[in-house]
Amino acid sequence: MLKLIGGCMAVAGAVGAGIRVCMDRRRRIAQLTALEKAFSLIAGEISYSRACLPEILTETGQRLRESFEGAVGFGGAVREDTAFLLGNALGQVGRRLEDGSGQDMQRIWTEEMGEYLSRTAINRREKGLVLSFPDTVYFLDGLRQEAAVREFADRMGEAAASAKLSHKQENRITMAFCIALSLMAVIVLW
Amino acid sequence: MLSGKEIIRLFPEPLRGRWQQVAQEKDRILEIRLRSLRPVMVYMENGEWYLEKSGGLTQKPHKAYRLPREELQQILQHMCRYSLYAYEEEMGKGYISVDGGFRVGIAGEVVLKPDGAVKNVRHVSSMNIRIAREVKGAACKVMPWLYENTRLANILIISPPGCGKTTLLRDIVRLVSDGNPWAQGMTVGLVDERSEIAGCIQGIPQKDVGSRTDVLDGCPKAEGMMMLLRSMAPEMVAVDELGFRADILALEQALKCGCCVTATVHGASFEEAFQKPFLAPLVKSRAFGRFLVLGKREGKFLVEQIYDGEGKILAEEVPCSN
Repeated sequence: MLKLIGGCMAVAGAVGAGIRVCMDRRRRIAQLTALEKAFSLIAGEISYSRACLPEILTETGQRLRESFEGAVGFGGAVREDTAFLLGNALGQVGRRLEDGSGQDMQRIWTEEMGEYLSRTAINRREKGLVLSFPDTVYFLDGLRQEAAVREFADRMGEAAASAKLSHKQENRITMAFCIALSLMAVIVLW
Repeated sequence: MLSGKEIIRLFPEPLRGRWQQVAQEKDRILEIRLRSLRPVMVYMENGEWYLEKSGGLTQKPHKAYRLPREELQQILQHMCRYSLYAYEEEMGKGYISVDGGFRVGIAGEVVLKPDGAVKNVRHVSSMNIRIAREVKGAACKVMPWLYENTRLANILIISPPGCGKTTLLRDIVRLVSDGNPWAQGMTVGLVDERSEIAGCIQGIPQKDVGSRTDVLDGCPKAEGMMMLLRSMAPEMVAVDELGFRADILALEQALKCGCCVTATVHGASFEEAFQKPFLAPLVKSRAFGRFLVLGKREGKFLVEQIYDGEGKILAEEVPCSN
């Protein structure tokens, strides 16, 4: 009886771990999509209003939170949470740039976005890309500045699209692998 | 009054320690000159000073702090709020307007458009921070001379650079807008092309320009005057530094609409106003009822002469203080 219970627990644990990995993939897609949207909004504002970045970041943070409001269901909840956190982080960068403390953008961005990124499922390369954003904020020409920000949006979009394409197949493999591994462990240890 | 904090805020946080002493001299500073790899200079009412590395002020050139190129870029980025692109147009004109109503002149390598016009300035190597001062009451002693039979005259302020024409204009606007012992308050439309008069941040004036004043911030003068006339029905229109024919055309339009006008122009004397080709017809047609010629004596700004529309001197040496 104990063996049976142990075997069931091993299988359930492996399935749980598999589900967790699959959910992280789903979160990563939502987070990349939110980042794509954020950079798109920033690029759009640079192009349209030529406003300063602190204002744009504060505004974008606000809009990002609003645009994802009303999302429902399981996936909706993931998106809402993602947008809320990202919106908060961007808003915080904008506010700190405007508060008169004089801290430089690199430092503020690294602190606020670093904190946000540490809670996301996106990979190290993508995190590095997001954190490098302040390095591209130096163009005198509005069109070139917009293009530089737009590139961030494109790269986030590409990563999200590629993840969307492969995540179903990867999820199936993950679940199959977890179940097989747990069954093998049960057989070996029986 | 200008606070030391406003000067400190011009600099990024890591550099602020060095500017503490300079900020304490807030009431005497006229300009701060930053030049890449050259001594940092502070122009005060009592002469020219160099900034030391420790933050002190000295008149010995060999003790002066030489500004590293990276530091100048850091200051520029900070002043432009990490948004150089947002200042593209201003930089093309050779200055940027920063928080607090300060105007910062810039020089460096000029980028030209295909037609030869200046597009922008890259590799900025010099900056001149002009310290804007709000002197409430600067126009108090002038105000009685600005009315003709209780009606506000059209006023032209003539002044060489650095003699307080923007400060005087700001205070006239404030006193006309809020009302003063000689007249009730009037609706004023202020076109603040370089954000120097009202010192707007996100459209909100940081300097006191009166409770009945509507400000068009960062707007070219000619367009701004027309916009105000169309939409805000001002009783007085105020503009700084007339310089082009288009400004005069817009000014004439304002006069035709029955608005009072208060404007400033560069010049050293009343006669100079007649010699400016774009301005002469307006002056000769007696569109202006008062001319204020500003000057400086022993470091103090004053209105050297007040003329009426016919060129008759009404008053001399009126101090710009409360």
